[in-house]
Amino acid sequence: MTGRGRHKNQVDDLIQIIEENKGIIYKVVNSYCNDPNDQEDLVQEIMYHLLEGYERFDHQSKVTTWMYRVALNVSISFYRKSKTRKKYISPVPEKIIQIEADLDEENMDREVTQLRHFIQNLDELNRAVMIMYLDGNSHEDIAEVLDLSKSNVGTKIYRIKNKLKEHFRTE
Amino acid sequence: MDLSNLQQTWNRLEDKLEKSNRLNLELLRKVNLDRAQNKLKGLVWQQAITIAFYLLAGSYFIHFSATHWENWHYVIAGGILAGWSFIASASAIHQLQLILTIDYSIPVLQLQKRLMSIKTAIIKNLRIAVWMLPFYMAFVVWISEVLFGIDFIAITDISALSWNFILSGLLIPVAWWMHRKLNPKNADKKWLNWLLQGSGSQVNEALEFLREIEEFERDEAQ
Repeated sequence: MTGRGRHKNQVDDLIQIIEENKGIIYKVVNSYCNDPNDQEDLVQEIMYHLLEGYERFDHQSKVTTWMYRVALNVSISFYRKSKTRKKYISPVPEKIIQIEADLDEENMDREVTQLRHFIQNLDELNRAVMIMYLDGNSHEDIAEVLDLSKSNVGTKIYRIKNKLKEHFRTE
Repeated sequence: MDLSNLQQTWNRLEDKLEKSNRLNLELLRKVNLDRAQNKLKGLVWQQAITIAFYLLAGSYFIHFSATHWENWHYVIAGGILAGWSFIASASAIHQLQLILTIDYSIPVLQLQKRLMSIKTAIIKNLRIAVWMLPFYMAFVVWISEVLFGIDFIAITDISALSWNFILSGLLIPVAWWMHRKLNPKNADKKWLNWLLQGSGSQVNEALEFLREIEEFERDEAQ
């Protein structure tokens, strides 16, 4: 197969993978970034890194583990206003994602709003743990994405949940 | 909020996001990776020029030593300057390697640490620079010969030479002191910020985040 043909197949595979797991990207982006314009840029940047890294992905770990790593790494770097980030942007002329506007919190139930605010107020690293936990990932998967031990992940989740209890008791 | 239903609540947020976001994945086919990678290469261009400069300088100083082999002081001066140039180029090569091997699919803590260490590398370069202070005589010997055709060691009397050697010795603790002061922990100080050409706050933020990562990793042991 020619290089171009292989690239086309890879893009097809990747499009399918992203389509099946786009929720990961939405939730990570929404947790690290509030402004709809920045969210669009961030999604674009994540897509670029997924596309660029897919060739190297060896399928030894789960595809969702790989997606979480890329999405969280790009989002944390973006969040920290990495100096280099703007230089990666715009590999495509149009927007890959269109976001209507910031989520209309008035039409969102109170629990969802509270949880969203709580997560956005966690520091970047604990936020990553919480997003993966709420997405139903095992401690092992969370540990693999972040490079922590399983027991450390358990401790962190326990602490965050206690914080959450405290947070809702005071609200 | 009922904490046992956290995941259900989270899923309701996902439903909301699914409705408000429209993803056009077909655009991925238009992504020109070559163009984007060229932009990335632009980022390392400056680093590549730095490496080339130091390697050329190092080669030149070796050539200088070789062509003046009959005078020991020229050989030593050229050797010191060549050594310093090669150390600086090795540091620049290491930084370039770090930049080129950034892979966003490695574990989060590993990548974030790597990104932060790239940001603080500028301080390492300053440290390399201050270690030339005790060897200033090498510069004087070389410049005198190249620019004015003067053999500095031959025309300087023994007492003046002795004072220069004493001064070189005294500059060793000064360089050591500056090396210690050029610590990433001082990145928020005005003088270091000036030396870092205004990027002190970025270095400071990077260090703060590095500390957070270390604390995050250590958490288990507490």
